[in-house]
Amino acid sequence: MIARLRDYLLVIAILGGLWQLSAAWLNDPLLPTPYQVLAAFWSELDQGALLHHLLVTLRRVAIAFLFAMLLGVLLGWYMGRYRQANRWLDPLLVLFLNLPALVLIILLYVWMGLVESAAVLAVILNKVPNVAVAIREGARSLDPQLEQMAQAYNFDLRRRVLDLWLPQLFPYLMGAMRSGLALIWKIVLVVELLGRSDGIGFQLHQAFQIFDVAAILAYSFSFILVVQLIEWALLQPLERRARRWQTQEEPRHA
Amino acid sequence: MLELRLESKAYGRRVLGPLELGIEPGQRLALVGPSGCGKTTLLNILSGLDTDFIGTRVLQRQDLLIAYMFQEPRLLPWRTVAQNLVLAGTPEEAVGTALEEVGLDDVAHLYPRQLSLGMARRVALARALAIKPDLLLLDEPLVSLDPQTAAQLRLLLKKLLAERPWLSMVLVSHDPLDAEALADSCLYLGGEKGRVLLPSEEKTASAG
Repeated sequence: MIARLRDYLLVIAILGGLWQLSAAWLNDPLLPTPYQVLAAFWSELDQGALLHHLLVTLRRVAIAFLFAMLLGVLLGWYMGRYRQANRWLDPLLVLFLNLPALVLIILLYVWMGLVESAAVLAVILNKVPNVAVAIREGARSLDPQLEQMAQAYNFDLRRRVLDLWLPQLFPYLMGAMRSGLALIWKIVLVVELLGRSDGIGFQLHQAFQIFDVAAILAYSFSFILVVQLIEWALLQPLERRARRWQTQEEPRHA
Repeated sequence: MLELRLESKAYGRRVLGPLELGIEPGQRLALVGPSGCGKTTLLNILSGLDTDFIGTRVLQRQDLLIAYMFQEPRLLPWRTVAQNLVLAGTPEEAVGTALEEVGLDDVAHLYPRQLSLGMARRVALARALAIKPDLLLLDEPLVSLDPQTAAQLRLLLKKLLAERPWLSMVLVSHDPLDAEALADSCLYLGGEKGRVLLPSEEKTASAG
């Protein structure tokens, strides 16, 4: 754990050093030094702007994430378990998978107006197909032998969900959550840039108009930091807990 | 107790049936035959898991409890031994006794991957018996064990069955010796083109 943290900090220090050197060498306002970015970060934080926009974006990410996971899991499960459903829904899934995020965002803004619900809905619709594809794969790979066992011992729905299906779907859920978080916050930024007047995407838009690269980087890094914290504080402990049965001491008997 | 009239059942390219089978309380029946003759298929039909056949399966009591011990232990790998038993319907306070009965102690907190196959079979047996079934279905309970472990488990099965004279049992085995040791009647499946030969031998028909 300590060694991992040390390596992590070391990599960041090396990248920071390289950046500092090249920025100092180029001496161009379009490539600020890490120090200038940090200064921009502090000043934005000091004014309260950063925290406000960060929380606004985080709220959108959270809502979109929740609904995208929920709908995606249900859809993927349904398609993975029922062949007929898959046959009907698959063309739709392929369509949404390949529809550029930008097109969905623009269409929803055009149809619904520049409102919050359009913004969040656009993000959800962008993410649902990815989650559905991952979960469909998981639903198809469920162990039929354990399924039979559960039937023979009359597992009720609760036990089937919690003790039979969820543990088998867990790796797929984890994958969907990881890629989901990363994808969703990027799309949220685009949505904010195009049609919202708050959030990090909006701030980036402002900074872009005056070529304030330091602010752009300060805002981006602050959100990367948040995603990293979510990974450390939420996803990794969850994963460790769920994988306990695999990491117990080695078999006692050959 | 349970009556099965099987007209025919297609599995893969093979066909099972026609055959008639009645299981009475306390009866111990062995299904013997070469691999691929439909023994497990017949067991699945008897258990009610497989309903895709032509014929009728009648339970005399609706609350008839059937426990199925599969050929593979089929324990949930992400749950401990104790949790596996409880999930299958064992009352929590009965877990310890159920495991002791099959000769296991100090395994309740282990995960299935920490068990040997012989131990996992015993856990599966404990799970089957702990729900206090009227009918116990055993699918090759002694297969792929080393001779010593198999002998031990055979003795244990014999003892546990002797302690429960009311319990009916249907055993699937490719080994006539196991059938002889554990059952008192025998049904030979197999023969030409997967056709089923009707009971060709009734060993000591002592079952009531």
